[in-house]
Amino acid sequence: MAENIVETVKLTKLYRKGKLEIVALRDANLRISKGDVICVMGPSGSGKTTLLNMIGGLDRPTMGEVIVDGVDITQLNESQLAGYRLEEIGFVFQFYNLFPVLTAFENVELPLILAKKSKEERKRKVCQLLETVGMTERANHKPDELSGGEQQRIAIARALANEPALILADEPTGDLDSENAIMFMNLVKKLNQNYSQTFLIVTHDPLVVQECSKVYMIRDGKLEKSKG
Amino acid sequence: MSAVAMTWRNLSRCKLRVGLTVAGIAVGVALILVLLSLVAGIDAQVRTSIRAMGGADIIVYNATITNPREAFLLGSSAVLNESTVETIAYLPNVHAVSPQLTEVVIVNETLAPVWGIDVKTFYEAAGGLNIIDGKIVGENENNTAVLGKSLFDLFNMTVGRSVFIHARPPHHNNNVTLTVVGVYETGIFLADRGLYIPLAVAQNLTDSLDFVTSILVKADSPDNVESVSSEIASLFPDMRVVTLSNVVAQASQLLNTLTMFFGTLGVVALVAGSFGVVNTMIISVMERTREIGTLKAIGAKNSTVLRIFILEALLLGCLGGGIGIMIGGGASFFISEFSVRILPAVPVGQRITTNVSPLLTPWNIILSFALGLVTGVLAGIYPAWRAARMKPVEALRHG
Repeated sequence: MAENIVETVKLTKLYRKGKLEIVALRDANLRISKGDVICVMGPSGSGKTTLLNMIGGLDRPTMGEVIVDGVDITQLNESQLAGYRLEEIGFVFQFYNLFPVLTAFENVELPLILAKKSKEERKRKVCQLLETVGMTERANHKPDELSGGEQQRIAIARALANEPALILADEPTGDLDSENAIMFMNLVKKLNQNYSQTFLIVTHDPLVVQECSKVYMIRDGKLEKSKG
Repeated sequence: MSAVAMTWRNLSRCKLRVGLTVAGIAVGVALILVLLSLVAGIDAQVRTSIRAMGGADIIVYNATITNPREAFLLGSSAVLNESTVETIAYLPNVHAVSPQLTEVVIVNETLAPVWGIDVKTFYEAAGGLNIIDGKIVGENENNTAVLGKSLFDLFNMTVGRSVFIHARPPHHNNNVTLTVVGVYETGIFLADRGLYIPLAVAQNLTDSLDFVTSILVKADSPDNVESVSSEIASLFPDMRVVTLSNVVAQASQLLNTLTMFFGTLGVVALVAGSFGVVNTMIISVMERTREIGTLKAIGAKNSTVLRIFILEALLLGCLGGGIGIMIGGGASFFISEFSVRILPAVPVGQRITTNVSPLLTPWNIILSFALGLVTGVLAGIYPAWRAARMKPVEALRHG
């Protein structure tokens, strides 16, 4: 059996809206193994992003556990969670979320600076990552000089910077045309095949779904496996 | 990429807003620097005039020459008669009276102020000189001189050697050679650049026998200084009577007025400037909410986010402080160029100065700059704290 990266146990998130209690997610059990490319589908507002954020240590569940390397990260304090996000997780967003004042190179460099890597090491790593995502030529461009597809590739390079165990992508192709969406998924496949990089992708996009090894559905806060 | 470079680029996103914020701090810093420079200038001037009085309680000058430039150009203002000395000496409560003749002469080819003193009474009226080597001019010596330390060092002089002195036009044919018997130090630039010689020698040099430029008066008790000075003033209406206490009183009154004026303006401007910083930073934090969320998502700690925004406030303070000291320094220079005439005639050597000259000291520049910096940082704390404690999920959901 493949190595477990993340396991969620009865993960539950409730919101309170006035007197009403809204269930965003109930008793979600999800096991992510090394090399998985998992996608989570579901109508908007169904709790997909909530699941992603709790696994990524951005949000805390109301109940349940997120086990990473035998540790329940929901028990970590803020600063430890920041360290977890830095070392173990890479985020990719629908709207890329690159820093507009930084060049492509500097955007990829930022997580390495936060991880206190030396200047030489940063340079070496950033060049290697830009090469991997095919953006070496555009290293010194600011995000507003790049196309959506290019920005998303820079975002992937940034997510990969500290060699995370898991990349979490929230609607990564939601803002891309189909050509760029295919290019993005090809990059995901390449990273998965060459480096056994693990992905958890929240999406509506059939182009993405067909490339994933496992597919989950969330409906009314309940997580169900539908493929793999 | 350094943190400062990144902060700089973030600030340059909205140049107008940042520029106006910086201007707010700069105005405060500039006002504070002008205030500090004026205070330092007046302080230096008061010190100088107090030292110029030596230990004397009162100095009497001729009041007909009030323009320093005129007094300087005329070269001599030997208009007090030595008989005046006698008259003052016989006033009640006067302990000692000593006439002085101040002149600018040429010593070994160098211009230097010279003080002709009546050795016998100088001690009693002014308490003597701070001799650091050798001795003061003796009572019956007519060919000796005591040099100020700067002048002494300038000539590589040793005690026992002599200096050649000749007067300036129209008395340029008068000259004398004096033996250096000692060195004194006062701490006043002009005084240490000069020399003390017997009164008679100074009078001979300038063909002003029987005339003196100032009279030093010592009262028998500090309590009687005021009564003696008003007595002298009423006896000789043409004379300027300067006492230590009125120099200090007028200067401190002026200092209070200036401190009130510039201090209030400066503090108000700095406080207003700090509101500008708070405002700019809060807007900046709000506009960059999603960036803050992203920063946290990729692993930045709250403390890192706090540091980033504090650094931004620090840079605002730095810019404000830097521009402020340039404006304040320029304004101080402008004021001293056009000299504000507020102080009473404070005699320094032969020149009578009535101007307040702001004095730019490195310490005051550092202090004003630091005030700008501190204002920026203090104002930045709250917005930075707001940024730091933002919940990443909510921040990411933001526009």
